[in-house]
Amino acid sequence: MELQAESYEQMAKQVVKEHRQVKWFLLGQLLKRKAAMLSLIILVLTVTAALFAPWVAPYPDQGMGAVNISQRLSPPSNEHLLGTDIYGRDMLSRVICGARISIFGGMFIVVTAAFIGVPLGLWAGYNEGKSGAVIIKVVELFLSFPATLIAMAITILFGAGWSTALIALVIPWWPWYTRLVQGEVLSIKQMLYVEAARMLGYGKIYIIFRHLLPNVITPVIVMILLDLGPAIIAIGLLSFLGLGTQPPMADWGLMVWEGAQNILSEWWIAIVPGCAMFIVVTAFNIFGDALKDILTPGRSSG
Amino acid sequence: MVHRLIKFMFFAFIPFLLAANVWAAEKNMVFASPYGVTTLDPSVSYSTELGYMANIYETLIRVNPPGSSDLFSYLLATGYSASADGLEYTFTLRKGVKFHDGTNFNAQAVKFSIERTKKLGKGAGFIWADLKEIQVIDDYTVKFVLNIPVPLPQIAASAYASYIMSPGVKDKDSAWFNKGNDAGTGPYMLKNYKDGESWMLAKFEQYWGGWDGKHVENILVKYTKDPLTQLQMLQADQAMLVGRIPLDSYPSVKKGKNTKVLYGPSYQNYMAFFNTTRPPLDNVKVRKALAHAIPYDDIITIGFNGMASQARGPVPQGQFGGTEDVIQHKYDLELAKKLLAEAGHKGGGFKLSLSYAAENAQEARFAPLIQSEFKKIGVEVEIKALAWNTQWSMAKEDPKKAQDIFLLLWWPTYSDPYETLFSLLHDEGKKPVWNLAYYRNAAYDDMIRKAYETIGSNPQKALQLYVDAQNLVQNDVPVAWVVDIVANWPMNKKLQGLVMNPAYPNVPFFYEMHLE
Amino acid sequence: MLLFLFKRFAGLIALLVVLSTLVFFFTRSLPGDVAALYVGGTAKAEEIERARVELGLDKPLIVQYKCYIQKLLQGDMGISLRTHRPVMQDLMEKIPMSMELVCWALLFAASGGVLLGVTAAYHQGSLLDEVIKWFTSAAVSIPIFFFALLLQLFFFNVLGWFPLQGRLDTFLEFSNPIENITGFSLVDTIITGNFAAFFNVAWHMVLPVAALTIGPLGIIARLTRSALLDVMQQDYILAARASGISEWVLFFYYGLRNALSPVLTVIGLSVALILLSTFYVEMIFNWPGIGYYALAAIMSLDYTALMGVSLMIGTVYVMANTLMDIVRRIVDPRIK
Repeated sequence: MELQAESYEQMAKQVVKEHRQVKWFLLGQLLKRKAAMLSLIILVLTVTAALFAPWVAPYPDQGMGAVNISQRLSPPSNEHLLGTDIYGRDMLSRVICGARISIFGGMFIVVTAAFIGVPLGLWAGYNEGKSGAVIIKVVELFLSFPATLIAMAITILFGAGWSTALIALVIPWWPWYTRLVQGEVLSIKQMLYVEAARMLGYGKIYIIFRHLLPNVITPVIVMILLDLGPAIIAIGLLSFLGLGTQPPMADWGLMVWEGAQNILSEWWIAIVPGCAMFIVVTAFNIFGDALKDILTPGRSSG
Repeated sequence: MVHRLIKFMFFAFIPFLLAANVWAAEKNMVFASPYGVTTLDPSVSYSTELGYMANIYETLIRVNPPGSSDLFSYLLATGYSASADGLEYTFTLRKGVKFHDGTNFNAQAVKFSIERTKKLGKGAGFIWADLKEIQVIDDYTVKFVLNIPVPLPQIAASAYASYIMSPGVKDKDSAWFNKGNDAGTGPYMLKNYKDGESWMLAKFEQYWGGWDGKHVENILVKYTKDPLTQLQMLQADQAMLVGRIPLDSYPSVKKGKNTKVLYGPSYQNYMAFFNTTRPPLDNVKVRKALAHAIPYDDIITIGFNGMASQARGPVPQGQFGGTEDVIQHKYDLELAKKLLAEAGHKGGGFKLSLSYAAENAQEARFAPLIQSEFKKIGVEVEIKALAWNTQWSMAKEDPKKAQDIFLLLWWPTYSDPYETLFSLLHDEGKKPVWNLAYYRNAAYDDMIRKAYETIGSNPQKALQLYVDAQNLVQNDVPVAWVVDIVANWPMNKKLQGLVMNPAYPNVPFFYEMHLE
Repeated sequence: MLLFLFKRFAGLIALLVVLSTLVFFFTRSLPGDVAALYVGGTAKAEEIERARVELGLDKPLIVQYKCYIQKLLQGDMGISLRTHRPVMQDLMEKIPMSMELVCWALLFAASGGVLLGVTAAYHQGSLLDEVIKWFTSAAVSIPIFFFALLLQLFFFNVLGWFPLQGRLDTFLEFSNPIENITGFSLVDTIITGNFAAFFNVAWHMVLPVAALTIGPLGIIARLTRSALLDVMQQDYILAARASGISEWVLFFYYGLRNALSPVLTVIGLSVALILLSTFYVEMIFNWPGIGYYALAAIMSLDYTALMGVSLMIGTVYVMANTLMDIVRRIVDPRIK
């Protein structure tokens, strides 16, 4: 078969254009889903509150850790809507400041993991030679062990802390993206226009960026959205064990741990941050699910 | 439906609970204990198993709690005399004492035990370092010969490494003990030992003290790390005595219908070592400023529910050497700011790292208070919660790279202050062990050694020397002495007779107790 | 099939070798002087040196590694720095305690999850489907430690139906002690006819098992639903439907059978999730199992115990996945 360069370009453009139209149509569908919209509203509110924490929180200094002993262990009241903790710090302010640590931490983990994982996946999928095989072996090795355990080991080794915990979670996280992208690439590669581009002698890098990347973007975005909830929980899991965020920083997992000893009397100290975590993670999950249904219909979920 | 099933299951238990209650009511009790066992070898033991060891084994003499008329009470010895130069101590021993394995107690057993401990050289075996030899005069007389005149009675009454064990364990190693075997003379024998779970301190019928009168006879020790569980066991009458409850639950336990909290003296104290080897803490004014910026009262409120007092010096108040003549650095932020300015750090502007043992709930609670307060004088603190082992080994490795501030909970091995003053502050050269301020002061080292060697002959002079030595330290501020703690036992109101003895931290002497 | 088994087995061995190597080098690079940790307390320098020789730490790393592998093959994981007992012995005591929780949780999560998933798929689009969807979304979103605390707060503090923590009431521990035969307390109490203890242990197990079940239950239910719906859209199902096979048979026989493979995979993955969750659940419910032991090892930097625990969890994880692969292979001959 003989192909002209222009007709090839047209073919490629046509595919992308159709894709976009379909997407707009599907995004319209999102508005029809009440649960997803509610989740979106919750998420927008929390992220905004987290971004502007110093202005939103009623007692920003307490949110950052300043103690306030005279008010310790107060139950929820007008002055402290969600009560105070063992140091007398306002729980509402703590939860708002904690949103920064937890949500932005989660975003960092997932996005960094994607930035590492996606290029490697593209490469491994497109290049079935030695380098690709090595990447796949490494990915398989990582996926053979429980991710949280790997992260725990790393934080034990390098010392607990927020930044260590984030990096420790990125390390077992990126292989999932590599695997996803590699799988996608393997199927896209067989498509006509990619074959065509290759036959026309376009370079590897060009093909990867021009044709492969746009096609894997959607599943990657869906995966990022679906991973945000688990990432927030993962930070909490480490912090709850004292391996993540350190006091006096507010971190939801750490706050639950701090309140666990008082659960039978001053229950709000553990329940408030726990609920915050639960609500935000649920919102991320529902929103992610909805987007997934819309953007990548007909794929089984995990 | 589910509800009914649960109810049914619940009622199904009641007969068993009642049966168990009959057992628990009179002479037997449950102790929900947070104190784990590192080793059961009486020569090696140097940790939280003390609470059990002190009920299973006995020493020759025991230090009495402060306020008693006599300094010592006599257990396996009935008396002792010292030579004029303080180099020889002769103990007369109690007759008719039997070990749990049936062997008779005599002078040979004393010689065997102390020599075994000294030879193994583990745990607190170092307390016998100045012992030259033990001579058996006759079956019930034994003579300790020393190299230098150290206070032997205090050492013989040590909480660790001074237990007398049956010569029958001559060829046994620590592993044998750790299986749950014992060879003591104490009122209780160790039974049903399940490491990390539960064990029983069971009445030893032939105990020399006899079982007339009111005594607790069997104690089921339920190893329970979690304070919340202990609280719940106490409140549900499942345990008569517990070790640790959540800090904020003390008020409700004090007011409880069946529960109370017993407070008593303790020789335990918390301190903050300043790393004196590198700037900015190599400057005495900076250290002094920080010592004045620690919020002692807040720490006492939040970390200890009010049951503690600001420490004066290394030796806790109440212990020999802990007097009001030791200088105290009081909380005073203005003075702290002034001192910082004088030191050339006006408004602070530097950052320090502070490490504490993550296992320690109190430290976890009050470290943020120090951080918050230091911020007010412009000093940023980075808190590192580390496993105790990590914290300690990192502090020992290289002072120049170590933490700036090190929080430590300390308690003495025996009741003479020398051990505390020596361990915490003497020049340890390149291999620091406990002197984590890396403090060096030859005059101080001389002074405490002299005090230690004169205490046998002239206690007054020794006391003065100990106080002077502490004041020497207080002017250099290598360490901020945070609080002297008040010991406490949350317990059921039925339990009577627990006497808290600060020389034996966290030891419930069950033989003295009874249930009403 | 034989070749496949052989390959999987070889892969398993290779993974275990990698795992043990990684664990070895990981623990050797932990902060702190191992010999000093081993001796503990106020040890003198000579004593630490003696311990160093005793533990073989004075030899080059590669020799130590060889020695470690040799011992490992004989089932010797060294002496715990914290408990001063062989790690193997500690693990053998603690594993059954945890396994008891894990097995129940896995059973409930798998059966409940599949049941919920099938129900939701069968009634796709109905209110029931919607309710299950909400429930499972919440189940996968709730952090395990928070859920465990909620259970305690609600079922102990508010309702008082279940005990707060522990494995056996203290009185029973004395009056009806559990004899250790299999290590599984429920089994042991039945064998010895110790019914008081049996009911008491079961009573204590309800909340921790519930806490362990919730996450995997949600995951399995969601996956079962979507896998089933996937299968039901396949051409051969449509063809079968057209040929007049009853909808019920179609769904439960053909549909479920073909959806089993991904469901089994996710059940295999749940084993790891549950094992890890035991860290939190055993800590909160004060259950003396492997998670509790692992946490204590982390806290005190007991490197031999850490080595043992991570090897064990890694091995269980790898084996569970392999086993699930083999089962999948058996139930679904299409997999190549």
